[in-house]
Amino acid sequence: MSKGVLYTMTLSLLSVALLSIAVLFIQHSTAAESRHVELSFTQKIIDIDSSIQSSFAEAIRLRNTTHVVMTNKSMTIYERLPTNYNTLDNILEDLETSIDSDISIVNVSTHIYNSTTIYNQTHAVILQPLNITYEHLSDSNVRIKQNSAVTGYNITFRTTGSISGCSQSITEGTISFEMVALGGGANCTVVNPSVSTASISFSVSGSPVNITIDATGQIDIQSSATIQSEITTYFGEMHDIPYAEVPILIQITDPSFYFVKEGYVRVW
Amino acid sequence: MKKGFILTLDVVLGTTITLIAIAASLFLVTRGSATSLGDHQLARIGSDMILVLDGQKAFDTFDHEYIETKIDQILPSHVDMLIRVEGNFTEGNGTIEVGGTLPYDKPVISSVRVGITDNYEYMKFTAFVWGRNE
Repeated sequence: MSKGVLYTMTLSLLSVALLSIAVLFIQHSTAAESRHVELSFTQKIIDIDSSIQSSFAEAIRLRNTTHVVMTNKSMTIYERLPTNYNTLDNILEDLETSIDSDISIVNVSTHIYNSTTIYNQTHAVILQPLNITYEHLSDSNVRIKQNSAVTGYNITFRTTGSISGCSQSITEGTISFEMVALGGGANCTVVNPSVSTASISFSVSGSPVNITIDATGQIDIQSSATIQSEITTYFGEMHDIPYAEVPILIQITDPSFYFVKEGYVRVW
Repeated sequence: MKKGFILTLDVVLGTTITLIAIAASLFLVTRGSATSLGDHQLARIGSDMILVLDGQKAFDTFDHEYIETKIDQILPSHVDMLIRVEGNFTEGNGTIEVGGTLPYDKPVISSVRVGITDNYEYMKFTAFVWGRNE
């Protein structure tokens, strides 16, 4: 083979190699640009989602009469019964209207949280990841739904009224149960390490208070008397960090990225 | 024409085309990496600024000077920003803008967040961030 052909072939190979590298560079550049677009989009979604969640959480924490404290073994809910959610509901509805009209990719639904008829999660607090639901059936009636993770309840009521007519009917089972009602005069106390069903009732200055545990472990508390309640639900020790959310649905949809995100508002 | 001349011409032509392709590629690579990360950083600064100022309840006052002072205290020196606050409040007919003047000759990156005051007034924040002249 002559020298000229050899030179030409060598240079051609070198050129092809360099051009290949150039093509790789261009591809890398295009990929980097795409990643940048995705990164910017992700940041935008995180900003919007987290700030909407924070706004609802702040409104609920500031205005709500319900407060939640959690450990990895228990959740305690403090509130005053009967509850009054009218002001909070109005604030949340205003917030929903403003956000829905201002940010086109977001749709907020407070109707599950506010509803008194359609859903079973009215003004609920949901402990996650165990999905233990504490809901308000009405202003004077709260319920902790049946959940296999629940191992016991500890309830304390405080009132300045006088307690009378303390009665109880209990069958043995596996749920630990303690209830103390502290009144201006007499108290009503029930301590039982293992119940299956229970029905306890007493009166506060003539207004009835009833506590019922059914065979599934679901507990219902009804009080038309004004009392401060402190309801602790025990469950098996969790390794995940517990958090509580409320059923206000935030949907973020962006068809250009085929992106849909739905989630409840995390408050505590 | 002599063989040597043709060979030289071939080499020059080939090398020129290859160098142009590499230069174009390098330009694209540089633009794709450096600029994008810079833009993302500006977006993060805008978002973080709103988050911090909202956490300090700086916007609850709707006081232009107070918010400006707060921005100056925490804004990194290599960037400038403008924050627009919109809502149903009475100050400024529901829109107030605090910070620098938007430049026409630099890329400006925006971030959006929402928030509420302690009086439950809704606010939509838009932060515009751009690089400052060295």
